[in-house]
Amino acid sequence: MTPVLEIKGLRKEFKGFGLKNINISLNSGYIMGFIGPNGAGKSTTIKLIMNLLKKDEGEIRIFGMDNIKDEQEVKNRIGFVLDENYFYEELTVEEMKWVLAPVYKAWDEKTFKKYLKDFQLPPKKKIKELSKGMKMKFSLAIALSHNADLFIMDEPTSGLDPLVRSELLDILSEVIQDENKAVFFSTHITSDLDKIADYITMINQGEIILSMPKDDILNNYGLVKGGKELLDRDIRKSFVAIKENQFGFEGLAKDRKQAKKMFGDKVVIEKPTLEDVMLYYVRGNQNV
Amino acid sequence: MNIIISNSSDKPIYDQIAEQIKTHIINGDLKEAEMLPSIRNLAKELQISVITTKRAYEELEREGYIVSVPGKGSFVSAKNKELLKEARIRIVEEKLLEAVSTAKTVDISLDELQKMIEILYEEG
Amino acid sequence: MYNLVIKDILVIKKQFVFAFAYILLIIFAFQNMGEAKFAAGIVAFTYMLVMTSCAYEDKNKADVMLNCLPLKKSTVVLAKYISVFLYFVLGTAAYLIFQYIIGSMGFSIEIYPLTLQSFVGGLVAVSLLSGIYLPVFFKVGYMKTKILNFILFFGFFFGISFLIDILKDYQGSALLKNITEFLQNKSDAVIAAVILALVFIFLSISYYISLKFYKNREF
Repeated sequence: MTPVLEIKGLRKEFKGFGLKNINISLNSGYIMGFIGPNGAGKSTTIKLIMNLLKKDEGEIRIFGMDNIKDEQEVKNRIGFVLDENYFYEELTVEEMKWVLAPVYKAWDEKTFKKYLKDFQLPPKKKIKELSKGMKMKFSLAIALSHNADLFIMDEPTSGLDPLVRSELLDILSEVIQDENKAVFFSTHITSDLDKIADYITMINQGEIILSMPKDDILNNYGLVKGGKELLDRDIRKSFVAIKENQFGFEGLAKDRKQAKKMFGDKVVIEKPTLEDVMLYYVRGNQNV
Repeated sequence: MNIIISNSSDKPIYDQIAEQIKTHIINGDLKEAEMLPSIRNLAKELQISVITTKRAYEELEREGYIVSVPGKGSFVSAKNKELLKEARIRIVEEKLLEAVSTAKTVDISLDELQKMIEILYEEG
Repeated sequence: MYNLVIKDILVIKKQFVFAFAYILLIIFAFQNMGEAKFAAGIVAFTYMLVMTSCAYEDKNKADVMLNCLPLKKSTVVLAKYISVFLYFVLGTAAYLIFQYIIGSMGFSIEIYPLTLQSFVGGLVAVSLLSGIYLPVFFKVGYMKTKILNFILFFGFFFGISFLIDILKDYQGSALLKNITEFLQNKSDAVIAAVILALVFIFLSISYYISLKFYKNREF
């Protein structure tokens, strides 16, 4: 099956920062969470996908097509929700739609009206008068109303309350019922993805740290807590990172079962959250 | 059919789902040839990854509890007749044991108990 | 593309009030300018609207959104040029309408009807202004063009008198004689057509430069 989104060897240099050799692959029917701390390169990657930035090296294929050579065709089928509102604030919801709808080949007015109603977006209200959550919902309504097959979201929930975040996740769950659609969702709020993501790609300082099914991460990795006397040079190597405090250590082990075999009852082993995994990879070893 | 998963349990979620569906099949809550919810619908309802539900169904299929027909869905497999029967017999034994011990506490004799069973069997 | 042009009107709705008021103003005031009134007025009118429209593009960071849409960059750039001319047409129409109304109201002011010279003069001025401004706008965005704005707008008025001085110096040159001979026998309409053709060529070059700059931009 051709992946919906395929990034190979992507490289982009800036002063003091760069994306190095990014490889990502997403098949349709799945939600991929793209996580990493602020400044890790998430937005840069997404801007490169949308050709807002020019890549230095690498290949980006969407629906099997090159994202630059077939730019219009590709963008017709992408629904996007970005971190900020880039619409014309002076226009009303309705006026903005008049500007956007003719651009898309497969614009679906009926669906758009339904979402306006569901989201309670007043058509004659100026975009600048909408709350942050409403602005995101407006973006979402547009993204969902032109029969897009790939949804790209760049931190759509940052700054939003848990209620709006949960509403967005419900809608994405609904979207993915169609196995011909896919969602690429970048965020640093990993709790959003703990539940519904199928795959997780983690990025830090411009490099991909891991890219695998979310379940594998949560089932395999383990938070190991025990006494510091249990650690030695070799044992430390089997951990992603270890946090030590006065009274013991807590570490992220790549293989929970192996850790159980190694330590037996001498430690407490728990299932990590995505945030735990991200923090351990990003912060490394710590002496509290 | 109820499927209740625990996020904090050490048991992987796909495992919990597979186990519970197996129980439903053995208990007869899910009948032979009955269609199971689609993996996507199940994932949405339980708010989990579709890869998880897929894995649960794959395990159930591997162990012979269900059959997946591409394009149509997943169905409780007919091979379970023997398994089901055995499980049901076990349940009957359990319930009879319960009836027997309860009867003893109120001094019902074996004869009386047998008569009760006869009447119920004929009625039901 | 029409949707982008309409957007250039909708976004600056409020500014139109000031712009139309200005047209009204020049009909009453600047009596000493005579025929050139229209040209000066339409340049200011269009300038006001183009600057405001470009400012709002920047303010909303609309380029990010526009480039996520299945829109060709050539469409985005072309739409801006067409918007400039839409403003020009609206300004001209306003001038004519206001003129007519005020004229029939019987005020004791001199009404200078629109002449072909003034119209062409205004068109040329607007074309030159936008032809120089837009490529810079597409290269660096509105914020960085503020100084250019200033230079352009005032440079224009000084530049025109400077140009006239130069032309006076070249009075006796052969080139000028050839051109004047060529134009002598032609009617006003033909002259206008020649000028318009030159303007069109100038704007096309400006458009291609704008497009090149915009294509190389990163957002």
